[in-house]
Amino acid sequence: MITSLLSQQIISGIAIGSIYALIALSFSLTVRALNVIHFAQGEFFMLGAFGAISCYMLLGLPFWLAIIITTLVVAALGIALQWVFYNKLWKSHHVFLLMSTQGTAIALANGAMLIWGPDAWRFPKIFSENVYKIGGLTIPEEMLWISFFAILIMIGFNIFLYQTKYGMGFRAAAQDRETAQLMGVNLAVADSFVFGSSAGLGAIGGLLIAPILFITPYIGPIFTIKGFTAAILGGLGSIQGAIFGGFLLGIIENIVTFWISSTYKDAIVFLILILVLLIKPSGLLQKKTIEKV
Amino acid sequence: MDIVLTIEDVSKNFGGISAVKNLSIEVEKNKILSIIGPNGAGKTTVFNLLTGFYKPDKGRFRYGELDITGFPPHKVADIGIARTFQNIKIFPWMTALDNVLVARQLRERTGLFRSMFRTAGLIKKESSSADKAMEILKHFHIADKFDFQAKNLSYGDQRKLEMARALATEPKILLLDEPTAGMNSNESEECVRVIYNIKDKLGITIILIEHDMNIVMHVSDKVVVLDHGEKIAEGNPGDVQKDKAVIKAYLGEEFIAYAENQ
Repeated sequence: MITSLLSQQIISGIAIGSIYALIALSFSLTVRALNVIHFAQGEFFMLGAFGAISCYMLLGLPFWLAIIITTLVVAALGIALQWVFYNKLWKSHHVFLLMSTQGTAIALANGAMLIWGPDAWRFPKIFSENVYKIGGLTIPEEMLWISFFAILIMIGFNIFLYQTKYGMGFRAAAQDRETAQLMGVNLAVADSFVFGSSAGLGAIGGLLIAPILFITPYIGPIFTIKGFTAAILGGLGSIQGAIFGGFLLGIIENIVTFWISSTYKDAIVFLILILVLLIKPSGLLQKKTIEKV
Repeated sequence: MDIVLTIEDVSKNFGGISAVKNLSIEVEKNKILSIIGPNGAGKTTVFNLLTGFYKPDKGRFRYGELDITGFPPHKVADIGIARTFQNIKIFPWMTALDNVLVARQLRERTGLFRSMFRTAGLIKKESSSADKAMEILKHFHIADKFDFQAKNLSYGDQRKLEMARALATEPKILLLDEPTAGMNSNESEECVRVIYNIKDKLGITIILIEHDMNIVMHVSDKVVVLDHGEKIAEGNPGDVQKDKAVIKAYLGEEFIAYAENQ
């Protein structure tokens, strides 16, 4: 009985965990490559969800096209912000840069309110609402699709980073910017790749979860914190760690909701964040130092 | 005389201090040119200017007929100028093999689509790329450590790896910044052999910064002496060794008479 309840929570945790993993990945990318913590990740996520609303609900485009357009637009926004703010602030004190990302987050949330209004949007169900019962477990098909697409994106991203020449060049730039240039890596391109893919991955998270969430311009900050917590759990700056941390956080949340209380779900998650920062700040997966991308 | 690289009247100041001043050097093809001078003479600054990390305040760099002044580092690498650093700069978290493969990607560009979906032709090409990288590691006697993380290699092996990686970009000109620093005499000798091989077998032009005068006098076709960013002497090793300005810069005025009596 206990084990089947536990497996039920783990399975439910995987879907939301895959979304946290995407946001955690966004965090880790900019940290690993440029040592920048970009606090507008939750807002890129929120814009992803609104992109789904605009393209699919308002413009009537097919969902796959909504995914492509929204991801590209948010990635372009991430790159534009990089060129306008971060490239200039990068050489100044890191606190300035951190504050500018926080300012960006607030501006994006308010911008979204101007465009889409302050009220919650309900996105139509686009995935099947079937529910599978296997053994004692209940698995909504919707959750499967969300996890499936999120995992697919992360696998694709990993293949790009670790199996292609471009990915190799970008990883080299994360380890030694100066020398990577001598291997022909164009740093302007590498940096834009980091900011663009970081924003784009968050947007994909928002797109995928749109059908199961009430969407307002103010959902960003909570997902920023959740993604950040996930990234810390796995070791901030580690690609595999971010994905691991995302799933772990999703599962922990579900277990806490079920056995303790949904009211204290977030409080307990943040307690875990504080404990990990105090006891093992390099993350649960890391031995001592964080492996570079 | 076949000139591959021309440094034309180049100056660079840092906050009012002149690091390189009105420097002109012609580099001959397939020769070894050494740049020597006391500490702080501006030798490494010349390398940083050449590879695009600094922009000169004045003057031009010409690569053959091509004006490469102001080229960013990745373009300088692309036209065929590679370098090593005085303090080793490898990619510490990558394996030795991956360090060399990063350099190979400069010469082996494939389309994004093909590299994501790994067509049969590409897999063949990739394995040949890995073969080439292994071959380069073999030349430097570090092929058996190909899967070591670079940071775990010994100091000497890291130096070799850095040179192997520079060669993997298939340069026409190789800039070596104190390649024998921290090496014992056996290792230095091996390093000198390697430098000769690079010049003779691969036909690469070499610009060398080196402190060890035995090596400089032994390997150089031409020596340029810098002091406070200015060229104070230039010529073949024998002539430079007897040059009064050089002796003064290195040892002080009082040694000129001593050297003349020798």
